[in-house]
Amino acid sequence: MELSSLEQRVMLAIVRLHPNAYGISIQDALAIKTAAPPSLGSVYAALERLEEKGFISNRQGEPTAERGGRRKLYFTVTARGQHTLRRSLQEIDALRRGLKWKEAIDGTLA
Amino acid sequence: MGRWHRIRHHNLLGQIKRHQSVMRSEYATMLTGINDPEERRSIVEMMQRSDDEYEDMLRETIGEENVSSRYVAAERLVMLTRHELAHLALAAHAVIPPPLAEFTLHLLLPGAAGDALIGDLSERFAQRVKATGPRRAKMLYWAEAIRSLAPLALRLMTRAGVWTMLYTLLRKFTG
Repeated sequence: MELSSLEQRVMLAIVRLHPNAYGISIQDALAIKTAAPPSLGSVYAALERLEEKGFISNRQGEPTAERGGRRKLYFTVTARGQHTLRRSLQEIDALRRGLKWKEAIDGTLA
Repeated sequence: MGRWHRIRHHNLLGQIKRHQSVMRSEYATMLTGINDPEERRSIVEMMQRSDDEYEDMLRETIGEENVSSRYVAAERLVMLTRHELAHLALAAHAVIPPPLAEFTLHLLLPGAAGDALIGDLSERFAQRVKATGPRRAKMLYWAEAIRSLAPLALRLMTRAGVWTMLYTLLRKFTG
C-alpha cells in the first residue's frame, strides 16, 4: 500500500517521538524538521488514514483541565506500518542513489 | 440481556445521575468565594480525579463483559460532567477557546480523534494565553482552526464516499 509524503513524515515523527507521539508533539516535530509545517487538521487527517490502513494504533491518555477535560491520543506504529514505512523509504533511497544533482541543476545532464 | 442485568444497568444509570448532581453541588460550594485561579484549578483537578476513581469502581462492579448501550450512555454522562468541569476551570481564568471554532472542528472530525484534536488546540491555547495574552491566543486558535478546515472537510468527504459518488455520476453522464 502506498504512503503519501505527509503520511511518511507523520510516521517518522511517531517513531522518533515514541512513546509520547500525540497531535501537538507530532506537529511540533514536523515544524522543526521541515520547512512548511502542516496544520493540526492535516496531521489528524493523515493519522486517521494511517489508522484505517492499520499502520498505526492509538491509546488514550488522561484528561486534564488544560485540555478542556479531553484525553490525549498517543500513537504508535504497528509492525505492518514499520514494514511499509521501511519499504517506502528504501524505494526513495533507491531512486536517489547515483543522482547527478549538479548536472541536473545546470541543465547539462546527459 | 437477562432481567438481572437490566436491573443492574438501570441502577448504574441512576447511580451516575446521582453522582453527577452531588458533584455539581459540591463543586459549586467549594468554588464559592475562591478567587485565586491556582486554587480553583486545583479543586477542579481534585474533582476530576475523584470522577476517574468513581468510573474505575463502576467498571469493577459491573465487569467488562456486561457492556451494553445503557452502559455506554452512562459513560457519556460521566464524560459530559468532566467536560463541564474543565470548561468551568478555564472559565475561572475568564479565558476559553472560541466555542464556534471548537464546534466547527467537532462537526468535521467527530469521535475520539475530534476530541483529541480540540484538546490539543486547547492545550496550546492555554500555553499561549500565559505567554502572549488572551487576544493573540484566540487569534492564533482561529488561524489554526481555519487552516485545519480544508484537510478535515476533504477527509470527511472521503469517509462519506462523496468522491466515489461524484466519480459514478461523472461516468454515468459522460458515458
